[in-house]
Amino acid sequence: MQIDEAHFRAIVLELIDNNPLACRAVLSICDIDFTDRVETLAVTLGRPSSLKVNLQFVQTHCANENHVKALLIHEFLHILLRHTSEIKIMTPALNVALDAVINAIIHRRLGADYSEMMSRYYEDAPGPLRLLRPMNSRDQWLWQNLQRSETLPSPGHHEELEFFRAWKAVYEGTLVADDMLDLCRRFCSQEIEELLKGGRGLLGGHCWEGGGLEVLEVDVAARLKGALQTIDGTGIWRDAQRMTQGCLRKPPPVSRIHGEWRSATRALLQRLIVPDPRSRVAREEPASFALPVLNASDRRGCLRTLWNPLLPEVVWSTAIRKPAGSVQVYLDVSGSMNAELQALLALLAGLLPWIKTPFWAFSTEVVPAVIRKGRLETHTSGGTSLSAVLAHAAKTRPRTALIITDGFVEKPKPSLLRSLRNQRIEALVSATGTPEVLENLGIPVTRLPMPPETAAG
Amino acid sequence: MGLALNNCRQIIRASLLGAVGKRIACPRGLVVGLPVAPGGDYLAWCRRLLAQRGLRDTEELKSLPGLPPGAWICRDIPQQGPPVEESPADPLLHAAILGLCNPVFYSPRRPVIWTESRLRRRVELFAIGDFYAD
Repeated sequence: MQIDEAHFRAIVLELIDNNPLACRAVLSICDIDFTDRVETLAVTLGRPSSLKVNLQFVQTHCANENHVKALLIHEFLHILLRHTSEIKIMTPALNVALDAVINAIIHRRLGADYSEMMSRYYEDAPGPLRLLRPMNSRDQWLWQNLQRSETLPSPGHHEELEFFRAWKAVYEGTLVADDMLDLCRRFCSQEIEELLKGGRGLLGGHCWEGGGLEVLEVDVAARLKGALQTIDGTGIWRDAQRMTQGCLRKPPPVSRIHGEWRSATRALLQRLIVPDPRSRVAREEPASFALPVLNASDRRGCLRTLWNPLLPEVVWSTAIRKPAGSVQVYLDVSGSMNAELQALLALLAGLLPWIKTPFWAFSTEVVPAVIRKGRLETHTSGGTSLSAVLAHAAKTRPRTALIITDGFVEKPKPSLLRSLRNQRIEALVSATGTPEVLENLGIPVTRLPMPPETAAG
Repeated sequence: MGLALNNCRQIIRASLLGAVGKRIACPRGLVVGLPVAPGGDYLAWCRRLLAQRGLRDTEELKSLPGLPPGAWICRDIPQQGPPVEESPADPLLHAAILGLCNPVFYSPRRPVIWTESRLRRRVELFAIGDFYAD
């Protein structure tokens, strides 16, 4: 079957329409990009999300539409499992484990018509790479022979028997994703790495060199969470119920935030806080009022009642609660902040009452952001533009503003800076950032100290 | 006395589909399915039909006369069934309807999706109006 671009698009549309394993969540937001820059298929999530397809690979290895669908579902499940299992760095062993679980899910849920793609592609796969396809009739025969000869073991018999048990279990769904990942974390990945170098690449061609787990956009994360709630996770995860509730990327606990960071940031915020009637924090201020009732603290008032024929006015003092004020904050969410963003979020989560709402995130544009349960909900274009922040501050006219960034920003237009003459803007630069550009612009900078564990290393 | 109950196997089958003259009814409409395509390549055959008719895009099929209006329930039927009278003569109309059917519903508001698996189906359509009218 010769699959052309129009046919491939129709297959994707059909898959979105039929929605097996809730794959619509990701596929429906992806533009299709036919390119030979990827070896097989790849999905990038962001703005815009894109499904990159090497059509020649599809034409060579997919004999029918079900094979193409299997390939697409494989990509979707790879994203879903990687994010739910929070695999930040992909190693060859983890990649094989994850792919084995994915291919087993496809085999169990969608049948042999779909997993035939994997059976063909990995037909000659050696050693542990056999996990990537369901057992064929020859493997079944070998498995039966291994079981029969258990009483008369040969060298390597035990290992092979264990391997076949795991292989059978993963395709029956009794060995789930968590078990396989645990297993592979313990394995030495050297053998797998060498086998992969010698043979053909994995479906999806997931690179494990420097390929960290991307931060999901809010809408993509919500879609994945929706997909998790839709599919039955039984046979995929040990605790399917917990996975269904969604646990995409947890922030570090606030307690782990370095104490110096918290005190430096709090001091900076205190300097910048301005009165705000909508502030969520209240502070008590002394106040007084007059009553015709005597009290011991206003002795002068008491004396006045002895000679003054009018109704006495005795001063009573009290305290009234007033909004404590807040500060407008702009948080840099560009790609260069990825490494420190979670720690900064945990830091800000503890100082939220003093941050004016909406709280703003910026990349090449300024957008509203929310920190909900320690997780940042916003979107980013990936770049950084200080001009966008200054233009926004000039437009919204806050009396004070705090920019949290790593300092890797371009120089803004001088006219923008001039428009902010009566506004006070300061910057908080992350521990690994650089204050130079901001200092050159005349923006006061507070730099977070290096965390002790990093400083020591 | 008859057989003990645990030795009996009863199969109960009921369907609203095709019911005529009942208060709740989903009467049967068209039956669609393409004849066996030359070379078994339904997609290529349908694309040729599309080109012969001077249409460039499958979405243009929505303007074909005879396309059932509104949503219908669709059900797969065996490929080797007898010919049905309700079947339209134009094979391109069959292809258009099949492209507008997902596993459960037909709707002309959906995109026309032409894949081998959809074009190979043989389906019968049932009106849903009477079921939801009450």
